[in-house]
Amino acid sequence: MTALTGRASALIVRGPMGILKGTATFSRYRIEPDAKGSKEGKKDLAKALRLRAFQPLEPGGEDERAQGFVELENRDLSDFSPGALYEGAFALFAYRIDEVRIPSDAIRQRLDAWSTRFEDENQRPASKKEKSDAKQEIRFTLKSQYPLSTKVFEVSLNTEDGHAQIWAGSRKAVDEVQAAVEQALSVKLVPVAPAAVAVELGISDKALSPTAALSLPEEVTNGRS
Amino acid sequence: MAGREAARKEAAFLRGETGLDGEAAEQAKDKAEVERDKAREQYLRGKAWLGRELLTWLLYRSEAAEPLAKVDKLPLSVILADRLVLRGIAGDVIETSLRGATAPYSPLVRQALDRGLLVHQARLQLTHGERNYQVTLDAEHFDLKSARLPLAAKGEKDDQLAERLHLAEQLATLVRALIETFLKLRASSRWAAEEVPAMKKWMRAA
Repeated sequence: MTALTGRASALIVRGPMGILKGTATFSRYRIEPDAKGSKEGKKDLAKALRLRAFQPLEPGGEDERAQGFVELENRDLSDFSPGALYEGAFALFAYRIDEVRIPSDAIRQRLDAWSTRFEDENQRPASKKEKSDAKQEIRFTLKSQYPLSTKVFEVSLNTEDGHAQIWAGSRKAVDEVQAAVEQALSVKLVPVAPAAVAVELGISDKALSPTAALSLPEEVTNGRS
Repeated sequence: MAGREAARKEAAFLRGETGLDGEAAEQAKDKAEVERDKAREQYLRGKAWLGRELLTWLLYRSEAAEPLAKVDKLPLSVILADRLVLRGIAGDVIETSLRGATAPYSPLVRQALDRGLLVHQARLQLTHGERNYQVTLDAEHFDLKSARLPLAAKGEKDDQLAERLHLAEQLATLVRALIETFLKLRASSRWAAEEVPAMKKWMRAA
């Protein structure tokens, strides 16, 4: 078993929600094999997820963010055994993001104080490089003072009908998880939205240009505005 | 130091970031124009206009309370409720939102639609056979948000999860059926010849 022991101090944990309970918020995609024609089999899917499994931030390390795949029901594991990964026709897993968020105000305050001290001691303003080095050091010092935030976003893949669902409300998170799934499984996720469905149905772009009578008031279409 | 400051100001002016008075050029730009540019960008991004026209058409068609499609041989009906966001690309108002159980069907909404605003986000109640779903859709991504699924039967945890996944997929299938129904009409000659004039007539009847 691959246990992922995150930093123990002051953990803020968000999610998972949606697949298991509560109201459901998800983005739906059709799965298309990428140019290499890869199609993950059951064994390959687990292997692909393990290759990009979540690795926790190292205590005292320089990184402020870690992300990767974890099991749906245990965000500290990334074995993806068939029992943990599959529910009937569905493959279920999650994408975990751990991040230390240091407020920019806190960094600026410390950096201003450092700059003043530097000028007093050296009778000259700090150079760009000196300031940048000081900023890095301040970030590193502050890192341990701010809590680690953990977010987990669920993913369900229907292996029979070739659709995927990313269970996240924030567009930024959806885009990140989409890119991670595409990269891990060598597939393309095509959103199930009107423009993409039109392409799938073979409807030409020309037939779908905006309807002026609906989107522009009459005085604009008549050139009176 | 003063020379360096002057050079910096001149460089900012040459880059078009500031005007002759040294104020940011963006401020000099008409605020309404900036807003309209942003609204147009949102309208075009990812062909969001198509989603807006779809949601607007759903509002129009749903007032008749008749099924809009058949899925698995069962009728699919839609009504809009609660919250509605309208967006436009011209005129004084580029976005407005309304709340209220019957707000989507108020004369105010139809008047706004007639002025060129379209539905950008809506809360839909879908009835498929005997099952009811609620979901919020936005015109750009068609993400399914805050969906209320029919209650899963009580039983083993795994069974409940499987049923919940099935119901979520079913909801997505219903939304896709609405998209397809709209797109087939939208790409046909009936759209411009019959449906749009009928929609405009409905808007003006408010």
